Amino acid sequence: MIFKFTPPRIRHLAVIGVALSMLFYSCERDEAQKPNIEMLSQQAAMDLFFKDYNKKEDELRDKVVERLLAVNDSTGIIYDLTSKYGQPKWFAKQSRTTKSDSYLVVPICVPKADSVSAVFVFLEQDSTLRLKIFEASNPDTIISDLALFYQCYLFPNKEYTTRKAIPIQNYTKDYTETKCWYIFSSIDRINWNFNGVSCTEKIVYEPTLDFGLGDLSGSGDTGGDSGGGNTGGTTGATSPNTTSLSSDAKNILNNAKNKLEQGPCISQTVMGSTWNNGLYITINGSITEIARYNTMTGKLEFRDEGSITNNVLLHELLHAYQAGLYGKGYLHTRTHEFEAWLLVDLYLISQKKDMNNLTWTNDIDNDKLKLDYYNWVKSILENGFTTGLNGNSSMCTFWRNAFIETVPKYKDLPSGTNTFPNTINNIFSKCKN
Amino acid sequence: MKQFNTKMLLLIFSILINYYSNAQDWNWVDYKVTGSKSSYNCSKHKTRNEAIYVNQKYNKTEILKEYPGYSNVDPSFLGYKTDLHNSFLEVIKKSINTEKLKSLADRNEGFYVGFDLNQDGKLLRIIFVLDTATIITSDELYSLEENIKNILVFKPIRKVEVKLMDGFGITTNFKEILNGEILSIRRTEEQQRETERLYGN
Repeated sequence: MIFKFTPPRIRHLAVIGVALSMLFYSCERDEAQKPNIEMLSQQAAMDLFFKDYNKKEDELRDKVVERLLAVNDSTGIIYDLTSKYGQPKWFAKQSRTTKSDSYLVVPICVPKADSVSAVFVFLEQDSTLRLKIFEASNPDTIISDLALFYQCYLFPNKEYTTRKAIPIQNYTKDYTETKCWYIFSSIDRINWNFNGVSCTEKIVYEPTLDFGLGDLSGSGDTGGDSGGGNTGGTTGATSPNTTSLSSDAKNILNNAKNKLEQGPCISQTVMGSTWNNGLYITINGSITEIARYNTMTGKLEFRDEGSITNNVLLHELLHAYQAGLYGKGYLHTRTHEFEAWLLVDLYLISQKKDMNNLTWTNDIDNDKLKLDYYNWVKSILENGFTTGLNGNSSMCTFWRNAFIETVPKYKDLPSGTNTFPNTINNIFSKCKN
Repeated sequence: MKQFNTKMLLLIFSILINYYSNAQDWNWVDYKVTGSKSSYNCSKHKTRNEAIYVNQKYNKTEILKEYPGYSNVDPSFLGYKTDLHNSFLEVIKKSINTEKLKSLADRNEGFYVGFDLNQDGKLLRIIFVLDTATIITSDELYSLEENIKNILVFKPIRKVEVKLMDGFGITTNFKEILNGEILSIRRTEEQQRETERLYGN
């Protein structure tokens, strides 16, 4: 699983330029404040997140909110964003539309403080939506100044102490025009030293975080039973593009595909929903992972021919399945990653493998946990997800967290608040009969 | 008052989290079984008919330091190829006498033995999962271990250059053992042959 990185493009730089053009105040930044939100409930987070939002004031903003709500069903993203950054200021006329892109700039305020913790830029590209987050705490001042400018716009009476920026007001209405501003800093609040001029072209357009939020024009299936074999996303059957593979690699890939198609319903379902859905499968010797799937482009890369096995293929295709459910470039959380490992373990147990033949639990230094996990996965395979006092659903959070502790390379993924494996449940719903 | 309530909530929350994270362990009872030749760490599950026995000489933490689990190192590792159906039966017969085997079969006792192996098939550690009320003694477990080390052979289906640990296991029961036909080994070895045919060197 990878996040798509969008290379710098001049019109993206302009997003910041337009944002800055709204500001006519000198402003400052002290310590970038973090929100101090004590144990928000899910509902309180939702309420805070949309407190300033009014429908039908801006078409793009309505679409963004709709998409966020859809993604939230599977990821709990709104709770995460509110907990981490605070309250969005959804004031009107934040969006801009160009010939190819539309974007929406939303500053995020620390509750009960005259401070902006981050600026969210929602960028619509090729019908998909990305969220780029510019944090006020970013050590690159060129980036953090964006939050600073919004802070001054929203809280113009705040006292300046160490840093301020004065936008150069001689700009044109054309958003593509280069935007520049003066930067001043001070150590005594009285004498201000001129630091230089920043212009949009100088900004390294690399936000602190960059998330895909899926297909804006799509149906936005968020994890329920979507019915049929197609999980959404790409429409029309197109067999995978494997033209760059050697004939040996094609043979191995075909063997893996056949194994999964001849396997249990869970692997058949994943194959049926993803294989003819616009995959591009290739070998890339420069990747560090054994394989990876790009949820935005549908590109599945193996490091070498030896990396192609039915287990590895099934893992990556589960990410493709998730893209079908949650939209291209969906926000990939720890739960999504855990689901891919869980699916392979379900597959292995269906092949009569035992507790010593599963995936990530080999790294657990506790035989009791290993055996408990085996029994948990076996119970899911045999009964699906069950609720109640002794239901296996109650252990989803525990095992997802144990997985993250055991396979720490996924710790950087957003946690998400929804720990229930919706994707696996979706697959099971198609295997009931 | 409001601050107090918040602190109390946090305290309760942390207690609940702690309880929840330890809940798994609470389902097990740990103790030590000492025989004439070796000692075993034993964990019995409170509700499932499962008791784990591991020779206390093993240190899995140290093993994992040298041989991390395959899924973190090379998820495409294909496991091992074996030909151990008959040799496994030989191990059992050398370790447990026939009368005892009949008793175990009459009691319908299950038997699982798991092996932690390195990338070359070298045996790193053995784990047994038996019935909670098993009549197998620790000396018999020790004998099983010794015979396993001397008789069973594991080879990787595809050699890899990196150090890693994968596992292999045999799930059976003493009725099968007494009858001389272990279904799970037959099935596993058939799968190994197919894996080697599809992906092996």
